Amino acid sequence: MLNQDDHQVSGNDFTRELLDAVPAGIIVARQDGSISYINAEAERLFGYARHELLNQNIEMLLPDRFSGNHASLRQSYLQQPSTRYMGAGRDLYGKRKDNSEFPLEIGLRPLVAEGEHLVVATIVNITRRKQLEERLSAVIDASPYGQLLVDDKGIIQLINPSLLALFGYDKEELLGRSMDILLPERYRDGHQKLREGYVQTPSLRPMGLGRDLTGRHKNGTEIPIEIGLSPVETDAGRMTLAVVTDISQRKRLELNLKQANAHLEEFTYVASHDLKSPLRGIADLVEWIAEDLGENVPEAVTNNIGRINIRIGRMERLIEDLLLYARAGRRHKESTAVNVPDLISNIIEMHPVPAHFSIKQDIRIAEIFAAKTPLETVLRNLFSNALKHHHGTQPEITLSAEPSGSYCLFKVIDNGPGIPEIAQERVFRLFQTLNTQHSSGSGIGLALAKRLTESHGGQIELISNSEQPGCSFHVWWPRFPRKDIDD
Amino acid sequence: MTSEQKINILLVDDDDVSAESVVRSLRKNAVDFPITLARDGVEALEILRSVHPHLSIEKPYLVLLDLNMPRMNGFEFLHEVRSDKNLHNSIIFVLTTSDADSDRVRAYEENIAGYLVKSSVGPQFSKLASLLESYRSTVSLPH
Repeated sequence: MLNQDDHQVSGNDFTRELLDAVPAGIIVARQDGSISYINAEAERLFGYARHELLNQNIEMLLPDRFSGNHASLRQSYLQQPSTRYMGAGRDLYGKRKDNSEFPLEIGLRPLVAEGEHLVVATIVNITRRKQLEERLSAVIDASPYGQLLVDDKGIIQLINPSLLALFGYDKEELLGRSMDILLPERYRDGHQKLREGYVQTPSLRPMGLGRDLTGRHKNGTEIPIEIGLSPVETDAGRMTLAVVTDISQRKRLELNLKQANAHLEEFTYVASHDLKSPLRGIADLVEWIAEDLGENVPEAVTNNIGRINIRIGRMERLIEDLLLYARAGRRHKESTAVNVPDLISNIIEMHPVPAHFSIKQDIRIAEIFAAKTPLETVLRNLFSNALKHHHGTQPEITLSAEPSGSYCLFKVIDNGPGIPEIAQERVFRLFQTLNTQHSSGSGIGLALAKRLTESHGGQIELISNSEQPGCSFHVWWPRFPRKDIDD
Repeated sequence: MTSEQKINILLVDDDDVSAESVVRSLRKNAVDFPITLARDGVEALEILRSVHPHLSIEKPYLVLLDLNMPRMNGFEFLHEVRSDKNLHNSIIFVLTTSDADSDRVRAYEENIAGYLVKSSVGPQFSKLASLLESYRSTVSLPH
């Protein structure tokens, strides 16, 4: 008997110690709400000693704002006792002895012991988890991109201010509702199937590849958007985080650019046809007048007819150059491997170089990846410019190429007259010549070089100073294919 | 047999100077094709369909067509001709100042016999005259 008693006592002790060792608070309450048992973790959680709580009402552990309602909730649980979490979907808090609060999660289960109906509550302090959740939602809230978390059924669980601003809703209007409200009606049916498909094989990816995605603002306006999806594991099961970006601005720019290009195209056409035809007519008429005048024409008339013809020729060349310039804004898309030494030699060979010119090369790069034709045009223009404007003695022109970061730096250096500082700014402008009309060019060479260089992602600069004779043109041309330029 | 065939030319151009250039060029190069002048596509169609109040043209003929014209431009004219079962086999050369690729491609879509850019048919259309002359002497046209 004694042994048995001993055993029983030690068995109770063991059970008690075991319950005290559980890292969750355990409180057993009677039907009237009085506390019949509390373990060590529960003491610690609420900051009371065991004897301060035993036989006290459980409501003393609740914040005052919840305690009034709690008694009736307790009664309804007793009507239909089951094993479940308390307060599904609501945030629960406990109140410590010092009146401070902490977030908690409570599991309930009914227990009948020695004929008495009891309720066992298991309590976990979720302060840390709450902090993490809050930190995550602070990060999401601070994002400049719209973000929303939806569950497997497409119900919105979390939504950030950027997204609310983008779609024009208040938080309360969206939380707990189907995300379909954010789609134009015509897409809703199709979207459900796509969403179900995504839930089957979730992955981190952009949504609707190759399609234009559209969202629906509260006021019915449709918004072009881009969406990234990623699966997220949460306590409440697997969810999908969608990051939504408003691309209206980009779409508008794209459209503007397209229209600008179309206008340029039209301008090119007008220049090529509508300006040329009447000019051709004038040239013909002048010729017929000359023919009809016959032999005995006053010298002044012949002279003036000649002057008209010179101007017609100049006008025709201007129109051609204008066309060239307009077309230079269009980027060549095909980049190929360009052998730099070959490119430079080719430019020199193709150009008639007067015998007294000394041409030097300094090539320190073998190959670049670029659109060859425009690059060649730019360098040829600079080279011919250097030849054309050099009237000094012992003329020398150096062509060099070297790597410079992700660019190839080409230099065309001459020891000619140089360009006066005051004129340096306008040399790259259209139809600006430094010489008077005797010069053979229309003044398009450098403007064309600049436009071609810039439309292919490069840069061109004139280096000329009073200390050194001559001038030097530097051209930085991208030497690798670049996404922002080639895409 | 074909060497002595007579070809009538329907010149469709709204610019009287440009049209006269062609006429003068042919005359200067001693190419004596009878030339009928239409000022736009509408008039050209009337002539080809024999509904024009004053002008008419007999087969075999070929058309020299400008593209940019008021009322009915060259492309619209081509479209009309190709969908008219009496005219769809007409021999048409485009003679234009435009060397835009888009125009060239679009014109050949309409089965033209050739696309001539005015600036490249030589000074005073001399190449046009010799082209027409050799065309007459070597090509057999539908009657």
